[in-house]
Amino acid sequence: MTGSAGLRSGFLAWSLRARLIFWSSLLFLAMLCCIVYGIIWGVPHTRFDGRVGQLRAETFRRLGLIANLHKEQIEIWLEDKQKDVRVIARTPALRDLLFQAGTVSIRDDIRQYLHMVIRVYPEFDFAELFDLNRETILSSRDARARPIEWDEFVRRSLLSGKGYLGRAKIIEPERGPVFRIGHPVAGSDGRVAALLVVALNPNRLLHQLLHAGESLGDSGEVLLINDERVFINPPRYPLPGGTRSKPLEQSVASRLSILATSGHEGMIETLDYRDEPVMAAFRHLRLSPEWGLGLVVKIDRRELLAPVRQEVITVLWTALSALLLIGVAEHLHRPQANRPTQDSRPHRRPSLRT
Amino acid sequence: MIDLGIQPLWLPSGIITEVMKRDGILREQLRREGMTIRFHPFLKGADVNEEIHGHALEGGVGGDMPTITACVTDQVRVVSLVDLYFTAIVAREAMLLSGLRGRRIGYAFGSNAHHALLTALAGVELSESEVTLVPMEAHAMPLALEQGTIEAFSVWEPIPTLATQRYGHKVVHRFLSSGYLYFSRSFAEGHAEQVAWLVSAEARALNWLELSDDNLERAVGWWEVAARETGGQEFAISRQEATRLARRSLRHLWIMPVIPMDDLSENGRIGRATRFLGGIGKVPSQIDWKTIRACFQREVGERVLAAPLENRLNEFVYEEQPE
Repeated sequence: MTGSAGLRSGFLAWSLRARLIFWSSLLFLAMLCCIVYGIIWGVPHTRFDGRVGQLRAETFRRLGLIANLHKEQIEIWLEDKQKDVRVIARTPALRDLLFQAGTVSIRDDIRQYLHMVIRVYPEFDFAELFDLNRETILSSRDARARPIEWDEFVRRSLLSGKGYLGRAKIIEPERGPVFRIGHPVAGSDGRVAALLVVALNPNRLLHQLLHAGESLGDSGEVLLINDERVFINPPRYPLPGGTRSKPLEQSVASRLSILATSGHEGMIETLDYRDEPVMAAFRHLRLSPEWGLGLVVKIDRRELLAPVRQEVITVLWTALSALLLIGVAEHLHRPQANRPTQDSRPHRRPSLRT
Repeated sequence: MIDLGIQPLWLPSGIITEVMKRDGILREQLRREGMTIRFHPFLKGADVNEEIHGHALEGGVGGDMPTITACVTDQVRVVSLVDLYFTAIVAREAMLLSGLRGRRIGYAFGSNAHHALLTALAGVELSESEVTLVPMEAHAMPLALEQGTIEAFSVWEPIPTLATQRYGHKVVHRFLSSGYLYFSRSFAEGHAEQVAWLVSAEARALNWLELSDDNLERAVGWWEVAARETGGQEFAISRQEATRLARRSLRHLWIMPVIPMDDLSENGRIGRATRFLGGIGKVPSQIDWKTIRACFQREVGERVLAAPLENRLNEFVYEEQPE
């Protein structure tokens, strides 16, 4: 006898009641699966998105809000620092010192002034004054004057006249990346005589971003990426090769980073730098006409589905347990049901004795 | 006579041109040369281009896509930046961009929002053939979405703000677009000094707008009148919202309204946009990058900004009513 034939004959040998219970349970299970599917994934061709749809919408809304908040905070913070530099560059004291800067003692006074700026503004790593007439740089980090290096940042700062913010750059490796802000210093006749440059340390900003991920669940992460698609803050997870990226070290070519750095803002489900499926909100921070940063706020998709998965497992286990209990109960009742009962024997009417 | 095509229904360019209209210094400079300037309102850059092509205008303002198109067709000379802000894709409900598959999307043909829409769709691997594009005028889009004629639209500010304020529509995607001031090649080459005056007038307008909130609110008031005249009464958004939007959208131009150097490499924004437009057949796909690059004359803006005193960038003479 084959197994299936055995099963069939075994199944056919079940009592009517057992078979009824079996089929009812199967129907119940199928209906339960349909209902659970509908509740979880939504009903096709209707506006009911189900639990996953609701969770997804809620998660995207939260990611969007967090991304907007960070974007605004970063822009306001950087704008405030640009304003600070503008105020310093327009201080008459600095201008007066600059126009007497021929002597060594005055140069020392300018350095002292720059040191004072660093003390007053703790976010500034160093301050420098580019004396355009003498083509030298006086710096708070160097006692000697050095010649001006005419790079694009210097040229754009002079052209802008409004406090030009340069790209993040590592100048002193042990201190991490800095943003440079350059503002012209004009004499009383309006002619530009110097350029004030400060190095803005974004540690406070990066610290905020690092801890922002904590409000995004276990897998959440906020990333700031420059226009060359290089991480400005270190990512939370190792890269696919297992290495951990340091600031301004590793470029990333995920769709998220490409969209965010090339000027897009929106929400997406895609793979991140680890090739992990994520839900993400991405924003573009335009910090100057020349360049901008990408901001990505993301959470692993499996974290979104984790509570749903738990619910499905609980419901299915409960249903299966209930079915099992029914089966066991039926089994316990079966011997009684199969035993010839008194009812099967001819009834003897009880004699009524009077 | 210099005839310039402007777009009052486009922020922030609409505000800048309203201030330029009232610039007494510019008028005086032109008067001394026996010239005057007129500003003509248009609804989109493609319309401005038609008039430049027909020699009815000496120049105008337009978004990145119309500018590249005008460069290809008429070799216009692009001299400064008048917009660096986001265009938006708007829908009735919050949704992922990939959810636009199979939907009807309103757009203004040949505009920067058209370019932004196609770029955004490409970003989520949706092609033009997977959606239904419905050409329409920008200011008609919010009502069309509300009435269900379309299911989303792509447009420049302030229309997305208007749609979210008035109808509760949702911005589902934004894309950074740029806009430029450009002139016909013959005018730019024959009147370099006048072109520099106009770029100076723009830089001066930006400096004046940045100077105080009062100036910005005054300019927003001028813009509201121009926008109402161009787009109709229903276009108006609150003064407070318009001022907030103007401040945000002008922020990058305040730093430096010069065409970004990085945009002008073959792999920069203009190069990528040209390739993209070539790829979808909006401009010839074999167009030589050098032809495009020759249209963008960043150095005009640089020269103006490098001499603020000579170009009177911080002297302000604005009349309440344009001549």
